[in-house]
Amino acid sequence: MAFTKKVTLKSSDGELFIIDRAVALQSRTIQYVLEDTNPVDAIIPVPAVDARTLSKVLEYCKKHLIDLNTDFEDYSKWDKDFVDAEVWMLYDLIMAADYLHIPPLIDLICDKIASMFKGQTPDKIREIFNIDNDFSKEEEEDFKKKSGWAFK
Amino acid sequence: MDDFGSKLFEVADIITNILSRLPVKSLIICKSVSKHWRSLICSPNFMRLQLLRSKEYPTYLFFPYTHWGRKVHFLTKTDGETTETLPGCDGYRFKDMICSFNGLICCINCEGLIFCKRTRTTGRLEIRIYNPATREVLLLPRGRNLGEEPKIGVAFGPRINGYKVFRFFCTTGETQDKHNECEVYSSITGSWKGIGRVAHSPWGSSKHVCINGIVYWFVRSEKDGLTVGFILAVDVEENFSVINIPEEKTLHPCLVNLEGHLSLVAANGVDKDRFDIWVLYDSKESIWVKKWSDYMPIFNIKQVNYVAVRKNEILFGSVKHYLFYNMVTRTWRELNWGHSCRDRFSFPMTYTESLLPCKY
Repeated sequence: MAFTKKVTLKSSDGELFIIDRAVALQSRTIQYVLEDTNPVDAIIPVPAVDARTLSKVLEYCKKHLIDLNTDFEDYSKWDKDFVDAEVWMLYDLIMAADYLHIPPLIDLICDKIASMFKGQTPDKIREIFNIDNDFSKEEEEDFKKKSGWAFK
Repeated sequence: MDDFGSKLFEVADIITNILSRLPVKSLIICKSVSKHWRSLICSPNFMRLQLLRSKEYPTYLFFPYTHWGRKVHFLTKTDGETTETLPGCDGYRFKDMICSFNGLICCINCEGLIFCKRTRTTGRLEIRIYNPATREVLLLPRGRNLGEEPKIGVAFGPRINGYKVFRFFCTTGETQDKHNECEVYSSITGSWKGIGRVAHSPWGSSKHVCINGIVYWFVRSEKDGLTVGFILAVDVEENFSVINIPEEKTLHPCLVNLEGHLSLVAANGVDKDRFDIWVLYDSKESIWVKKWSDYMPIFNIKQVNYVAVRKNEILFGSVKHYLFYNMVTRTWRELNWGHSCRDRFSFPMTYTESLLPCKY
């Protein structure tokens, strides 16, 4: 089997990313594509991810490949900075990580978003994440009556 | 990207993944964010996932009490590093916490029953199932009214829906013969059912463990009445069986669940400053393997009242001290409450918070 050392990914908006095969293999989706078809010098389309997001995802993949010897402390600092982003960026990232199937990146972003929920009121959560409130006033009152202690 | 929030949360896998990382208190708040979130958090699948994640980070739970008024206004949760106060079953008196399972606690209250000085008056035994994280409390219906200290055990798992409470008592028949009986409460039916005479009854003072739906208790030796004779096991299908303890001398044994295996933490028969851990490999043939042995500092296992296991860590409790033993590094450290506490603490139990209901 002929292995190419470089892989080319094409984002949804047509930008090409030429990266090391090892970096790309962190995505299980791409791993399956490579195993199935073993495309030599072929371009792998990533139709669900735009260039801005893809470059960020690849930044993560490169960091986590190169610095295998970095100790835990360094990693967590880098990871923390990596997800210190606007909500819309986290949204794009998690959709991309889900599509490309990169479990540690999914974990990282899920932890980050979960931490944004902690200690917030329902109103604040709806505001940050742009969610419609589909409960009636009566229902909301009822929740407060039943589990008001949680809202304090 | 204006509607990113609603789009993100349409992907059920992702939002489930995110929410399952939250503590129960946050989840109760998240339940009133939207109907979609509410139905997701209330689904059995989500509860199961949350419990699995929560079990990755077990803590210990104590209840502080004073000798005469065991009113439990709060519980103390600790992982050895940080200590947190959880609401107690406010206004209720606990005599004892029986066990902690899947985020639920079984506690008993014997209002009107006096056990000291061997005088017994008939009173009311109340058994409650309590979820400190959701603050749900369920008072079980009354079983047979007996002025006797109850011997109780709770069977749960391997699936999470439901539990059974086994209660043993001794009765005197018409021919004045004393015999053991058992009744069982099922969370599915919500009622007690007598299962009649049973050959053995647990040793009153012994704590039970439940592993994969089977409850284990010590039974007092018939020879001397002072040592452990054997182990009584009962599964959720109400099948009883007996397991012998290791043939080698095991003194002051405690039952624990070590990575899903029934294990005994016991004094070494030869060296009183050592403890051994025996693991049951075959329950039918009662085959035990001594898996561990180490020295104990500060106090020896004769002084140990309680043992609780959290992953690779064992908590030994005596009247004065609580010691953590790390099975990976074979090191000891003492639990520091951080403040002088004049209250006494109950025996520790391993606890993981969950959303599970007390009532099914």
